[in-house]
Amino acid sequence: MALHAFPLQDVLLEHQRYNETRDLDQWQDNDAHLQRVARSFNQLSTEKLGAEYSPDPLEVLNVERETLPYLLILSARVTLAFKKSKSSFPENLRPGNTLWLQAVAVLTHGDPIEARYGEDCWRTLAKAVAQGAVTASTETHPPSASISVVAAAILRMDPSGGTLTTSHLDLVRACLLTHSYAQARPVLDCEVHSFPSPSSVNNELPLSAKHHTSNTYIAVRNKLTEPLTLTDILEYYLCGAMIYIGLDQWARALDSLDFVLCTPSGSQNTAHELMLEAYKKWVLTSLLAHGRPIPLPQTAGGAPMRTVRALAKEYEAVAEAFRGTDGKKLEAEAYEAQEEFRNAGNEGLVRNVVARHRQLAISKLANTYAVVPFSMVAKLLSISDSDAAQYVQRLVQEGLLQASIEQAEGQSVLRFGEKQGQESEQQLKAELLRQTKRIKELSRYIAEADRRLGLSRDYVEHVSRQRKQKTATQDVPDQEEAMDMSFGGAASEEDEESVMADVS
Amino acid sequence: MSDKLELQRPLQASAIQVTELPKLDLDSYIANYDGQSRLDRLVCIATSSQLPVSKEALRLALAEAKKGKDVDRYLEISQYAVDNDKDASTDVEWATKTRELVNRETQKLEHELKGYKNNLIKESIRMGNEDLGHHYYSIGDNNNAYKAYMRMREFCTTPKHLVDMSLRLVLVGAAQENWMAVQTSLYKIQALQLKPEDKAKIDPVINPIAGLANMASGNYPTAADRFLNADPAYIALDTTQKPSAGVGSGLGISFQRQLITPNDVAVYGALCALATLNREELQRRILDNADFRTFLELEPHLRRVVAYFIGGKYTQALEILEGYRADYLFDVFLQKHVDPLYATIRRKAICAYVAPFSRLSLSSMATAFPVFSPSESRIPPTTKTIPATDTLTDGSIQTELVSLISSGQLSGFRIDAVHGELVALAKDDRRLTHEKALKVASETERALRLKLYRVNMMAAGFEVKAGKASMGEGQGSGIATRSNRGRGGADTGTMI
Repeated sequence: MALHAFPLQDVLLEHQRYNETRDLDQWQDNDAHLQRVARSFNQLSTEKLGAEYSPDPLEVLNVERETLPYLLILSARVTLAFKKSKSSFPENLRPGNTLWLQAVAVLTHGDPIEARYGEDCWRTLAKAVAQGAVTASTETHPPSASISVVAAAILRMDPSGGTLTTSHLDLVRACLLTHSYAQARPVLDCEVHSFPSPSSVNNELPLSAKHHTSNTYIAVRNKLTEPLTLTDILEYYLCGAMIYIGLDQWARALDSLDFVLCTPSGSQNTAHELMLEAYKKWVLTSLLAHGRPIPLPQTAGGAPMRTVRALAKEYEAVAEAFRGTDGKKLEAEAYEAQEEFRNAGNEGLVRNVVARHRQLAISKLANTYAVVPFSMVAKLLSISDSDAAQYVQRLVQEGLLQASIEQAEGQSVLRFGEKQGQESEQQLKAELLRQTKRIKELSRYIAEADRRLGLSRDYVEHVSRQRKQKTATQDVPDQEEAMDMSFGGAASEEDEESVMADVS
Repeated sequence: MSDKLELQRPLQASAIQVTELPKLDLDSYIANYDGQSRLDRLVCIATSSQLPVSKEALRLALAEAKKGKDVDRYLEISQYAVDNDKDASTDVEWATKTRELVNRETQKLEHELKGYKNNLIKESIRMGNEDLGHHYYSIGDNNNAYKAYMRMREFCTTPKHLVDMSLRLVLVGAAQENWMAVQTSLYKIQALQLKPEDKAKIDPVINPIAGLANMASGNYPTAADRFLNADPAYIALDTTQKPSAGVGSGLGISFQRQLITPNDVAVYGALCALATLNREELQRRILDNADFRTFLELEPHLRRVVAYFIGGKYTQALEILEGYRADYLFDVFLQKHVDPLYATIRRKAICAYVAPFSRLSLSSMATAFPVFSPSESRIPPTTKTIPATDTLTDGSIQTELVSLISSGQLSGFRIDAVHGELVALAKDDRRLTHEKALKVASETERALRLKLYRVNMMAAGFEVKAGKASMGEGQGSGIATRSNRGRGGADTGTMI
């Protein structure tokens, strides 16, 4: 290697040598070495690190094996490029240009363990790429390509994708702005199992160690993420839901919105603004996902939901009209509040709801009838026979209605059939197994979260308070029971909520 | 004097009006009843139709009322008679005279009771209250009768006294149509420790009355259960003896004549059972049950109905029942329950009829289940019905089937509206189980996920706080501003 000009040549050489004999199981040694490398780089100013050298170290370094130096140098150059270009997006970083290509290379092929020592470099690069997708996409480099890179970078740093980071947020924002919804799915589909919290006590396992969950190395103190605020978290889920809505994935969108609604509330009936927005979408999406109004998730707090519901009457009116069989009434409700729907950006959802109601009216016939004449369908929708035929034909073709159109007794008839394309038993079994696996994984995450909660200061205080009470009352809850009681609060809210659900 | 004769609540024609001729013979029918029950039943028949039999019942009711001391009741009936018949007239003289007599009697009894109370002799006070209760009951003042009987409680010294008191309460409760009170009294009687001789007299009475109370409250399954467990000793039991005649004496009330006859037990029991039990249970609990068959022999046509029903000959069974619809509509207790019971029996019959078929035509169903009377159409459909087509002539049976299918009672079938057929669905239980399992699993997953989220939020110290970035606490305008970050991520990593 000939890097005479580069000030840290010896560090690079040492790193190269080290890499040749590296053993992943010797993580204590690895940790010490990588920390040393990072320290040496940090002593150099950004200007020096990001300056032009000949030969170019980035040309010489192997992205996959010498990720840490590569990442640090590249990140310094990107920072300098932003400084130079001031307000506009740096030319070099536009999709297809050098810096962009280098960023893509390291984000998709870099060694994730070395990258952990790069502090905020990884996410800065990911963010730059996301920005590039929004501001500087071209026809040859569509936003979707850049966004796929961001998603891949998140998953490379954290294969579970489950510790929420600022990069997650950058990703969903960029997706929404560029309408490239599908590219967010690899990350969005991941179960978020923990949040980086400033107050959480993480065990001080070295970064290069084998971590049980990504939550122990992705932490604010390692600068692998910024601290998130409540608004950030709600925004991530809301944007996620909007992406799913864009993809017509109603059930997943509903899952995402559920989270926002279930946000714990400190004081009685306080709700976040984003909870209101989420609730509006939740009402409409639940109709699309389930074909009927459903009760609020049990985990949602009763009092905050009351606050939110009071402000979303138009949506509940639509849901109520959807429950009935009268399509005209639903359309009237949709028309009545169209301004609100447009302002809240829910116009498209409402249109979908109206269309779904018509379609459901016909699908519901299948619960009672085996064969019906078209005249009946037309009467049901109050349209002409030929329109009905056309409409039904479209539904059948799009696979929204399991039925076939036949001629019988001199008229066109609709025969509701067995569900077409039904999964075979093997497929069902496979789906069940997948689901079981997901549930098991979730239980593991919950146990993990429970442990974290058990280590939090509030909980320790709670237990010590209980201890004091114990000596006073002799009513002895041991530690395990005390653990359960910490969930008791949530349960009582649930009860309240189920009452609410009945009312609705 | 005229104000004295004013009516509290004028007698009105019943909401249910019978237009068909009943099979019953009024004289022999009413001969089975005594006391208030006799009058109630006559009045019920009188107000439920414009048929000759009602006119006759009205005449008998007037005569019956005059035999008693219930002046208000007499005035009501005679007023109704005057309204409906120009020739009728009110015997004002009798009414005035009787009322004076009654008032004197009331005063006398109250006075006596006061005397007993002063003497503090428990037994006398109990009997004083009992006499007063009897008196109030006979003049139709059921509220005061109930109160008087209730006052007996603290002066009862033996279980037998308690039984007598409770039975009186049952009778008054039934007259008030306060079926909860009737059932409470019955429970109290059953809880008492009694001598075997007394028990033998009282036990047979319990089930028929409990059945009646349940039926009248619309609780048909329990009613059927009670009626079917009735003891045939009820038929021959003589309980009219004076209760005071010592151990093993009668109850002083003949429930068979004053409340519910053995024939009524058979009718009410059979109808409730037909509406609530399946064919196998009907066979076991009615036809194979010697006890209830004894009752059923009194109404042989109902035994035939049950036999037809079990044998799958639903058309004949329903036909016989329809033949007796008018009779049952004249029954004071059954009147309100004929339509719901008949509708349930019909629905059950239809479901049982179609069960073995994989495909059958609607027209054959319309023949098997003809719509008998206009009151059939009054049955409210159980759920919202999908508008029926007019392409079919037998629209009514189709409407009925639609409501049965959509209410889930006939879930295995679908209607072929083009060919006019009812088609059975192929069932795949294995698949259904799989799908159910998947559904449960995904619900569990959802619940778990939300719990995880909440735990995480709590652990990380995130919760919505009242203030700038939130709303609520009545601050309608306190809508929060989103964090100042741009949505495009144009900022380079500033912290909040």
